[in-house]
Amino acid sequence: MAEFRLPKNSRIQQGDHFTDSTSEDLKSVYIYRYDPDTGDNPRLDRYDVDTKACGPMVLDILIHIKNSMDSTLTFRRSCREGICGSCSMNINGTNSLACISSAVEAKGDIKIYPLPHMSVVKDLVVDLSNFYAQYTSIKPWLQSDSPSPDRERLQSEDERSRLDGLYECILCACCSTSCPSYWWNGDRYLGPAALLQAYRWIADSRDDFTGERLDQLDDAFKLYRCHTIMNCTQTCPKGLNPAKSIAQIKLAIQERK
Amino acid sequence: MNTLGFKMSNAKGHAIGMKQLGTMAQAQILLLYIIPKEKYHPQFSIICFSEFGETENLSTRPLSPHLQVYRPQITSVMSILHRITGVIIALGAIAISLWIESVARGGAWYESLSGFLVSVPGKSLLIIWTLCTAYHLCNGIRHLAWDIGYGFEISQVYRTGKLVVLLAVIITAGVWLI
Amino acid sequence: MRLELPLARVKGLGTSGEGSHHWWRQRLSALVLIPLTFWFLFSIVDQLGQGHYMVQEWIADPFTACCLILYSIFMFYHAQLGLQVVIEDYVHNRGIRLTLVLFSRAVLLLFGILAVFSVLRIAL
Repeated sequence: MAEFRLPKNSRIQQGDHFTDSTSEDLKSVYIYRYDPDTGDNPRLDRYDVDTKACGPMVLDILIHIKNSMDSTLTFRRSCREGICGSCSMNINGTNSLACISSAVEAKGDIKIYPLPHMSVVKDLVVDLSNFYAQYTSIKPWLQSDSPSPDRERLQSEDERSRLDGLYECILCACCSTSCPSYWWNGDRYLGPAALLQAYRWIADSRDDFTGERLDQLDDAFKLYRCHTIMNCTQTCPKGLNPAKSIAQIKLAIQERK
Repeated sequence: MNTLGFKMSNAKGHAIGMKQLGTMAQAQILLLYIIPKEKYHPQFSIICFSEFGETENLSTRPLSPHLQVYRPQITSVMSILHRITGVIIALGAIAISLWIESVARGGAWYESLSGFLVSVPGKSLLIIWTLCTAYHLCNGIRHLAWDIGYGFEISQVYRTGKLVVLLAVIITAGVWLI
Repeated sequence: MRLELPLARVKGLGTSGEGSHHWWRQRLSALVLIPLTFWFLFSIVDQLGQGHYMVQEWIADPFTACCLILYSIFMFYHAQLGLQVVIEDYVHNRGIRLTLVLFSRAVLLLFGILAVFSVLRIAL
């Protein structure tokens, strides 16, 4: 049975309380914490942060906490401008990138959890090896039996424009981990991110393995666990539309019958 | 973390210290003797060096919260309602086939069944069934539109979602008031 | 302990090649059900609580009988396809999953045949 409750070792306990003593203008930020060295259950720590001491984004707050309040806080981050996809997490109930989520505009407290229904390595860092393996399994590279040309493989403007809205994906895993179907069947369902990428290569005019790619996806679990719930499109921090790409894969499979 | 700059753990994911490393290294060398070279695979490593230990045993790690923290929104709520109403309609279909059977059979069985259907509890069930059917029907049409590639913008998803709920109520009212 | 690498786990037993067939049948049956459901919703309410003879007359009408038979067939077929997806989503044990899918199929088949047979019995 799909487990709708959290397993015993994953239930969240009350955590510690840290305060920026410097200011009275404080914002409460609740953050999911898990320390693999103690093996204790995860907890929810509260940080009262001086918003004037840090930048406007959620990532700025996290960096401020790590720098000056609690250096044990662990999270992934790199580019701080929404192009690397490292700082994906669940912020106030939806998945997004911390670096492009405004903390200033968020009313009230901010609650931060790791990406949902994933194995937690530490604090906000989750194990993405299954997610990456799913990406690998769709062979995200150009496959062609045509003889290699002496120069670039050419595309018309129209052919190239079909890749718009697909190639921009940064594999942050926000969409896949927002999908209830992926929660219950993430071991067999490839998930919106991998399927969007699968479609990116199906739609590419330079790739002549379209048929093989569709063959590989025609499966009740790999592709058809998508029930068009639309959480993926709703949550994508890059404004892409994985649900639409998946629908287009289904149509392409139907089209060749 | 140790002086090597790695987090070390055994294959079960438990952290190990430098002392244990010595013993385990001996065991690892033994393993190299036992397994023929051509059959050796990285999986046979009993010591894991990794920055975050991503290949460690998964069972000891907690599962991050999902339903508990994910905000309900029109997308997911309407989807689960589609499923719930579908199951209710399937149960209703069984009742319908029993009702048709009672018409074929006639007599007391038909009288008691149609008596129940006009009573208050019977009628309430029928109205709930109508609402479920109307919702599933309208949302089903919305799904069919998606299936042929229309209505995928989030603004459209919200607009059609609200329209479906409105139409379901109107159809139910229409069925029972006309 | 599981040392199988993630890619091997994802690839698993490979692709079944069956998903699209199920999906297509579900959409087709849904399409047929749209007009039938509208018809059924708006005509069934008048029949409830009617005298036995009146209802018999209604069902025996060739148009009603045909629509009811079509409705029953597609309704139960669509329900079976849908329930299968629900079961596959939530039940992960292969044995229990197969048992439940077959059981739901058998129950729905039984009541589908019951409905069709009863309509024929009344109409013929």
